[in-house]
Amino acid sequence: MHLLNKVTTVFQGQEFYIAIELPNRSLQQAKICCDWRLKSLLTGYEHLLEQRLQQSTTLAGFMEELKTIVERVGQDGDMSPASVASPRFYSHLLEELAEVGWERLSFIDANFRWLHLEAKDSCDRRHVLKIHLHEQHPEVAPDCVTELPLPFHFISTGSNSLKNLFSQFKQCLEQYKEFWDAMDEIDSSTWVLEPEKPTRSATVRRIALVNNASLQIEVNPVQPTVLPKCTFLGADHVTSPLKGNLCKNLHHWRSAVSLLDNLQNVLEVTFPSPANTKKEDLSVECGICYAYRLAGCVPELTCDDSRCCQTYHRDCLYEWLRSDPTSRLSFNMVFGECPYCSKPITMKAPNK
Amino acid sequence: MANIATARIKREFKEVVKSEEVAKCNIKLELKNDSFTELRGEIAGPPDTPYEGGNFILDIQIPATYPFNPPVVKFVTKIWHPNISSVTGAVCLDILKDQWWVTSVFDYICLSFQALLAAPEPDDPQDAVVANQYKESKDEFKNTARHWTYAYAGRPTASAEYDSKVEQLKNMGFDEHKARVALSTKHWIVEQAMEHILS
Repeated sequence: MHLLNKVTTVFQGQEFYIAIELPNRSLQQAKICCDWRLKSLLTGYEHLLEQRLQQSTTLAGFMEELKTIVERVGQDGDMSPASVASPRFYSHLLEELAEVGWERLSFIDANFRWLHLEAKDSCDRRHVLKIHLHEQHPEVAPDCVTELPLPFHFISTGSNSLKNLFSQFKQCLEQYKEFWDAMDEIDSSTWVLEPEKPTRSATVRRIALVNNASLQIEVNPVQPTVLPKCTFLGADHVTSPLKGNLCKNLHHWRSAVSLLDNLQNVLEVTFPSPANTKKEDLSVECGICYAYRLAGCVPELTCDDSRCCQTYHRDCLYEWLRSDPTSRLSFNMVFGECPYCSKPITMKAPNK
Repeated sequence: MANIATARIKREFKEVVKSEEVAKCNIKLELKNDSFTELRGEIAGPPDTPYEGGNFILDIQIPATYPFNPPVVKFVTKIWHPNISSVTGAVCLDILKDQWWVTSVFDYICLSFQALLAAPEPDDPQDAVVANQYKESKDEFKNTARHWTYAYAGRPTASAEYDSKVEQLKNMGFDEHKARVALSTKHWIVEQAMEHILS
């Protein structure tokens, strides 16, 4: 038995034809055929259709349900089907990719709009250039997403071709060579507590010093060998001497020496490295939640008492001090007791 | 905050399970469900107390605000103790109330419970009847507590006298537990206990 809904359902000016095949005259095994526009609209709602089909007793009832679904989907999403560009767009794209080299292409989406090109710099580091092509490509310049420490601006010199774009990207990579060399050295010979998995664009590193203190540096990607912005985190008795060393030895900073060596010379310390320490010894859990990473944060506060040195997450310690009636808040600073050793501990109230 | 609670319970649980101190003092801890919000504890009655030889089951509920608020602990096993309700099992223990400290962990809680069993504090009672008895006649309290440990917590030996009195009331058609409560409250005098049940 074959039914065709002669009366087309008109919704927002669009017409959809569907055919429903009913083997054995039962709705349970019905097969629905429809045009591709309706099909693409209903993608992701198959289970819902199936469920309605099982529940409906009559075909008319099911059609009513189907109409409701289509109306709802139409409201949620775009009624216009995914746009298809002119054939020229695709043939042109293929030519361009051949120019760049197919081996560079690591990803392309189903609409041929997003593509990833892969480049290797002179030190064999992999870099990905994510390109979003405009509908009017190559008349309109494509958008790019990169993992460079500074934004990458494509300057279209007369041509928006992928080849042009890709060569500019490769030139750009060489600019950051020194920066990545410095960062790679730090990543491989120290324990970087944060970021957990540094991306190529990350200019900040938190380097473990001892089990409850760390140094956070923010490196200038253009001039990686100059003194980075340094922030010490941890117990006072550990960080104070280091701050002193930094001031005292600042004139010993040499641009010719690598960033890591400079830091170690000026601070008069040797950073613990993966060669001689375990990360667990350096990443000490928060004394309150017993976890190291909490919602992306690591323990930043440390009890200043040299016998305690317990570390806490900012949120955890604040939450506890807030619930402890003996602690008090004045001028945005919370004064309370260390939950472990009961010695005074102070922290800035989080901005909420 | 709920994720803090879960993360911390997981860590604590791991440590309690492998802690030697815990094994030595006969403390057990197990999960009741996968969400780490309900736990079951088991502590052994401390030696030289009326609770010796008994095993007491604790019901531990973890609030979503843990560890900033204490867990809610009550005795599942019925127990005769001035600081524990003989009806609900609710416990009066300062470290689970105003003396809660964010760094208190389960083994500490369980050890505190054992300490409480060893040294009741009748001046801060949860169960007034038991506390009065404790203050007025310590021997009667000890015998009663010992009998409860036998009846509910698996203590091997029984007091024949108390047991026969409970049996006597039971044979009269009273509920065993009700009979025991009445006898414990009324100094194990059968007639008074009977009146107490019927009143």
